[in-house]
Amino acid sequence: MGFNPLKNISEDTENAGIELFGNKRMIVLDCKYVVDFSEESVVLNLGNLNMKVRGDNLLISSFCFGQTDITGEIVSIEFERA
Amino acid sequence: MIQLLRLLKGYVEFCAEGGFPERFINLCNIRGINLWNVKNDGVKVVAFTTEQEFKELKIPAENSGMTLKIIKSHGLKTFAKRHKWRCGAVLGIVLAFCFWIFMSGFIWEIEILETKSVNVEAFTESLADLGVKIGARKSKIDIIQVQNQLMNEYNELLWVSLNIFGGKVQVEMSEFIEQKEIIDTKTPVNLVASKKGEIVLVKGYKGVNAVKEGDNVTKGALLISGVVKNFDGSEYFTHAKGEVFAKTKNNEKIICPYKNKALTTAQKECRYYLYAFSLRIPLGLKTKGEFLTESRNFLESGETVLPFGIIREDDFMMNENNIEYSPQQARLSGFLDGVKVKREKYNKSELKSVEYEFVDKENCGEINVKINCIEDIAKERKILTEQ
Repeated sequence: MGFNPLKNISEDTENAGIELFGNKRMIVLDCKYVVDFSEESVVLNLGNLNMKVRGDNLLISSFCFGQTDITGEIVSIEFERA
Repeated sequence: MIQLLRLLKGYVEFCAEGGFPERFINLCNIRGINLWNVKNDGVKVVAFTTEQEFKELKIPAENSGMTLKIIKSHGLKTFAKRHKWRCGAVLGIVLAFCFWIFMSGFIWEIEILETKSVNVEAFTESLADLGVKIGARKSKIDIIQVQNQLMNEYNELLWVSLNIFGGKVQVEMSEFIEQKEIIDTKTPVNLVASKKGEIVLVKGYKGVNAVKEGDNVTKGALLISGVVKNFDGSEYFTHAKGEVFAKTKNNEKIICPYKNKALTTAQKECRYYLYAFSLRIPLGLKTKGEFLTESRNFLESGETVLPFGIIREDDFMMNENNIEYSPQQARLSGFLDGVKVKREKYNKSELKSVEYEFVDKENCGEINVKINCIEDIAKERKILTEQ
């Protein structure tokens, strides 16, 4: 059994949702704020969890009312502790 | 749709340099400022927002250490400002649009679909009397009333339908089909000769043949009898049917007068009109003719006739003159009449010979046409019976 760094975080991130449309577009619901963003990576805070989206030509199509719309060439999605 | 709304409201493309881009975006989000297509190339942040919300970006930019700069403005307001000296073009577009809307309320073409017995020109005039004509206002046409009045005026119509498609009125109609005459085949009849002749061929379909080939018959002679005898000696009556062909000699007389009255053209004048949207603009002085003929040349677009063109009006002034024919002219006129009679009366006969004889009299000429032909001389005659 390996170490799970994301254990016991689920209760804070239950309302956060991710909709993925192929690898071109992604909608993230209940996003708190942007931690970091550039053309190669976008990091969003979802409470106790940070979501890192890696890719190419990434841009935030819209960011309002807790809903973030990211478009571009998405390569990977990672979760890490905030 | 969203893009259209943004264009109407107006939006700006701006860049923000220096400072903390993530803090800037988060502060905008907290303030409810909508940003879209936000891009960070590492040096500067490029984004879009509405013109109104751009004014509110000052405080988030100061708080995050960013410097704002407008790259480009988009929207109706910007477009109007850029072309403010071209107000004439805009006015022209608006006027053209208003003109188009106004003109589409009129009738510009009337199409009458194919009809056999109804005269198209007279029908068009009837439509014009009822208010359906080129240049008439569509809203003033009561379709049902027009249809009813046309049905009353034209008895040969089974139904008539008026349809308005844009600026075109299409008239569709259906006529009564003429009932064919019922041939009476029950009344007892004999077939008798309509003229004298020499029998060439007898084709009896019903009844008893009373003549044979080679017989000479006079007018009224029995050809095929409708009285048929049974084997037991009794008789019954039937409707005789058949064809009896005989060689006949016929004479036609045609009178050719040497003097006649006729209308001749004394003078002809021509006048042109420019036609546009039911207006006739004369292009010359008024003429004084008694008889008018008109020819129209309109512009066409495919199958649609447009309300623009040229109308040519020819006015004729006529004189009544006494005409004298020479004997040759009278002879020719009589000969042509003779040919016409031959065609009309003997079109189903086999002509063997036709001779024309011209006789010169005091005030006129006379042509005697002798026609030898083979024709069907059978004619029905009822058998009178006591009841």
